[in-house]
Amino acid sequence: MAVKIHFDGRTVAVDNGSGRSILELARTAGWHIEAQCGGRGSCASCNVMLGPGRYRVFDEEIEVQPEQRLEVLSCQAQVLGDEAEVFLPRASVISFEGARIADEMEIPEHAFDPRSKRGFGLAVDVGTTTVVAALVDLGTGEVVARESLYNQQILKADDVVSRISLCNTEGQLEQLQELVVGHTLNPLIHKLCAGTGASGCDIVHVVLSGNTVMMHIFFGVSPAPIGVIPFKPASRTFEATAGELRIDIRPDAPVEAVPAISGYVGGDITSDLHVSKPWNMDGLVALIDIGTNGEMVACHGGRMHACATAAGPAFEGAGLLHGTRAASRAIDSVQYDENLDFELGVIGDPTPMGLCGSAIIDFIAEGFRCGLINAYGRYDLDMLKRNGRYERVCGMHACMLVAPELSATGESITVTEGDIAEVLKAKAAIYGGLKSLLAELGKGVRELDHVVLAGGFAKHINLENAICIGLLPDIRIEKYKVIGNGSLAGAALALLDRSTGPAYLELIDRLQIVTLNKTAHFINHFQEALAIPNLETDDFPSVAGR
Amino acid sequence: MARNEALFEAVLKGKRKDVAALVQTAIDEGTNLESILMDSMVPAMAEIGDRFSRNEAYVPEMLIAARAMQAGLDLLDPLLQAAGHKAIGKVAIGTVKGDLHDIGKNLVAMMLKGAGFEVLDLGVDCDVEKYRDAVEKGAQAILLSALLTTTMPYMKTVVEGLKGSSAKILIGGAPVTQAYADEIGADGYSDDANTAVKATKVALGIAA
Repeated sequence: MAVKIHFDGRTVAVDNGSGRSILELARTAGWHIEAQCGGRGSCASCNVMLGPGRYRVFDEEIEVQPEQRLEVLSCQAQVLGDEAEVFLPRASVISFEGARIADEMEIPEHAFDPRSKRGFGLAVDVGTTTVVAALVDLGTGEVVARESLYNQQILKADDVVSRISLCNTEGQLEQLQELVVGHTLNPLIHKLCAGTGASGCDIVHVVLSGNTVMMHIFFGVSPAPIGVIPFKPASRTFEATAGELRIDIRPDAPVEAVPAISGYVGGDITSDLHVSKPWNMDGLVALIDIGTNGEMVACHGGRMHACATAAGPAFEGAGLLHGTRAASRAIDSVQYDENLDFELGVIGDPTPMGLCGSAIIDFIAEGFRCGLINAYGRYDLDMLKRNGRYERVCGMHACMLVAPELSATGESITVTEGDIAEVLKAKAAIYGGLKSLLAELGKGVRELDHVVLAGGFAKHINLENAICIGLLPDIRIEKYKVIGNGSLAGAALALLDRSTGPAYLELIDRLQIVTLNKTAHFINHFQEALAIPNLETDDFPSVAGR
Repeated sequence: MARNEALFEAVLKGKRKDVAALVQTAIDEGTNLESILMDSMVPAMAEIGDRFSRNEAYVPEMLIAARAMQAGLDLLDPLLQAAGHKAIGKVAIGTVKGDLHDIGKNLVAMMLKGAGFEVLDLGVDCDVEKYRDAVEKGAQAILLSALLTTTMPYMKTVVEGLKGSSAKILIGGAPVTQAYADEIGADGYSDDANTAVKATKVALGIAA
């Protein structure tokens, strides 16, 4: 007498606790279901198939007969009674297997002057999606191990804004804090110690770097003020002891956050800036972190302006019909010409289940080059049909990349015109934001002398393709510098050189925050950037117009 | 008057400069102003709205068309007003307090203008007072937009604050649902810019 949950050839029986959603039952069974909207029932990332049993779905009672299957949102479904069978589709279950994590970092030259030369320090990049931790030997200054894990808060909500709104509900802040400390960082620490023979007690200093909302939650402070105008954080700096935060290391070890610049431009950007030092580069420099919130800094003649732009999750593969995170079975690169013979790169296991962000950029760029996709993101339907690639999915025109028999889901993997539209909106937010930010300095995009790309995503994209779709400025590739995980490097630097902390505090006040929606031109620049590569074709001389 | 095919196509394809030039030519030629708007431009926006509803056009294309439409309206509006043109209705739209997002709101505003409404754009970060002022200025419907789950609850405050006024209240935005509209007692809801126009017409009893 139990609820049987099936996934990937395995079955786990769990007891049906009263009032628990199927999403929660699946978690008890050990499978984490994607809940992009935070379990509010407004997205479809947590879909499951119900087998025989009685259920309550939204507010309706439903009975599923033997041999029947019913697809529902698991966050809005409960089992009535004790017996039921639930099948989890692969696309709904979060897998960390093969996850492509940006743990590569370059620590620039620095003085070696830690607070203590005994024991270990822990540098942590606390991302909205991923947490990366590096163990640093404070005696030698060496990074001895790195580990990463999804930030377990993704079980509750995907993006920063959903997490802020969760915190408005009693008890949720504490739960989110427990998810990132107890269920993410502590397991990482155990792995780091097990791998190196260090003991948690040897860790004497922790520096965290991450966006402002993640830092609030980590330290148990409500990020609610960041959710509404004027988006002011409760604090830009945080410190506590490991004991207070229940981190499994020496209880008296200090834990501090790299200070934030503003509510939406966080300590991760402070780190990126300190690591890449754009003020030491000649001319006009932009630093861009492409993510759900694209953060950007423009630097010219000693002045620095920063902004954040809401790009949405398309580049993380979310919000696309067959999108997926950059983990095992994700298509991560695509090449083709007008014959539509797709050459796919797949991470890990060669049987793909969906496309991640870098692949969708390739797909659109190649499609634009060969004429499959026009400037508005619409398909040449004849070309699709001629090559046997046409499908109609959810009422939309779609291009089939992988046939059902070759995909891990048993369904074809497609890109719909709706998916392309999502990417165009995301890239328009980034490019339009950058153009508006530079306009505040009286500069144009093509005047950029250097572009620093920070964050994990930039490490894996094809820059020519990113320029082709109009995501990044059309300047020579040599002017781009990809720095990898600057956030982690910034946290490590603060461990290794005690002068870093004061430098951060000075740095965060040097930036002027630009609120894009309040600038005169953002809407215009955003709208222009909705086309491929841009309605202002003068911005993209190297991309052949069609 | 017959439809100006070139102008219709230019709006549909989002060719802003062409729209401005074609409207200017039509004005210079003495074409009936209302005809330029109602016979060529409004049908073009209606067409893109219908395509959107059929999944034959997406938000980027709509925004690009809306931008072109606006270029034409910038030329026509002052002349139409001077000529005493009557819109099919007067509505106000604004993003609620605490929220700065305006791309969705602007698109809805453009679609409403594109359907022949007079639109008071209240901008972003609007408190109850701002909406109430709009009602006093004659807005028959008030459209509220919120893009954040953190700012959506303010919609309820507005509905309560405008209780007793004659204006209909419609709500929309990414986190907003029909269930939420029912819960707070809004008169209408829409999940996209095209149905927002239809919902506004329904709420005001205007034939679609």
